[in-house]
Amino acid sequence: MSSDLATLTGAYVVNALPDDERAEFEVHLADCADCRQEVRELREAAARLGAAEHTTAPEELKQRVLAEISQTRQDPPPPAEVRTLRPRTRASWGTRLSVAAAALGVALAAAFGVVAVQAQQELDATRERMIAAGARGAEISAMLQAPDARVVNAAGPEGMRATTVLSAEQGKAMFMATGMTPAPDDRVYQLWFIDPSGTATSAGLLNAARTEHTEPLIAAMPATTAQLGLTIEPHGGSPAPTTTPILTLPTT
Amino acid sequence: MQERPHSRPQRSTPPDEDDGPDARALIAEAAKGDERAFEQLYDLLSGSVFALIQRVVRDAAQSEEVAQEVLVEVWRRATHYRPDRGSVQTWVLTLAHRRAVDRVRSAQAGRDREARAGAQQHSRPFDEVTETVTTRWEQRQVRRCLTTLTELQRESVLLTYYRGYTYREAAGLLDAPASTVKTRLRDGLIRLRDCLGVGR
Repeated sequence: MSSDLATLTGAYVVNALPDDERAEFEVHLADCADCRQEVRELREAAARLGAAEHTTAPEELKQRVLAEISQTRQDPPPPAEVRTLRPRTRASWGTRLSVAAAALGVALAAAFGVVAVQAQQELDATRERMIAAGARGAEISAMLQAPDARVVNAAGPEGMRATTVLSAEQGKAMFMATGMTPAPDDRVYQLWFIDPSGTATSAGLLNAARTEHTEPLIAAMPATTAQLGLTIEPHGGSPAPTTTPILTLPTT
Repeated sequence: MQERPHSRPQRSTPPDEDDGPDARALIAEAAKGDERAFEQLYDLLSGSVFALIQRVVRDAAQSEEVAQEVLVEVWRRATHYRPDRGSVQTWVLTLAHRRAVDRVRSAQAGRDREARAGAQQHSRPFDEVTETVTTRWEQRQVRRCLTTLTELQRESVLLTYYRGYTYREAAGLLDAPASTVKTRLRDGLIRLRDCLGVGR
């Protein structure tokens, strides 16, 4: 985060900016992923100030609201197709995100043993389950919200499919695979970041224990990474690959 | 579709990171046009929505108008809610706060308000927060976390959030440079975020 504008996140979330500065900041926000993340977090904090307020709303308010909604047509869900216009701050995700979410949603759906459906709501529901499953889900969401999030799919041996979400901006890669043959008891699958010179850095071991689906593996990706590679290593993993990768994915 | 148990407005245990499953499930149903699910969501959130709006707008009749506008907007835009962007409660209260502030700003031209604000003896919003009878976990938590802010951070946050002042108006009241109030708002909210454990 740079610039003086970046310090406006606080004033922005409490709606303390006059209209002209607000508009200026929203333009900046569209180009500043860190600011967007901070706005999201500070908004949660500010909303707690609101949630601390509590009273019983007048009964007639409820009647009026319910009467009005029965006469009010709801907005259609935001489209998930390519937009040439930059979406407004509070509009739906940008193009790449929708694409990423769709691709990932299928993988996630598979991972969680549910039928993959492309509908946005189903994807959301799947992501919800992910998030419910713990912090990794939140990390995945955060990755998906990176404006530069990209999805790379690849097919491996014997019907294996790998999906990777990459964000150079966040410096992270998320890898998951379906259709894996479980590794023999004394072996593990290990993922590597491989730079252009062929030097490999471990990204971690895949947890492909008892199912054919791996749990998503998220790892900090060195900036020099040119491809990801998956190898089979002795139990506990290796400091460097000892076998030829069964699968590689380009990251650039 | 399953019937969902009516959720209790009172919580004695800390809410988890967000709304718990209820609000999210309800808004997903409301987004499909289920008015009964919306009614349950209304029951869950209207107490805070109305209280917050009333706190900013003050005037009871206007508060009701704004609250109605906001809650109908929640219905209309339920399809736009994205769980990965934050909790339902945050989404709704963000909207409520924005509309409440719009209402007080439109009620008066900025310069006029600023002049009045400067001339006013301002009561301290923090005292109002601390004087509320706090039986709810959220209130106790918020109150405790507000004490971790410096006085200037706290007053900047509370004057803008609960009164709907711009940061410049708040600076006039606090007799501090506007640029200072701007950064204190951010610093204060960061402290609040960390103390409440939200956002990450």
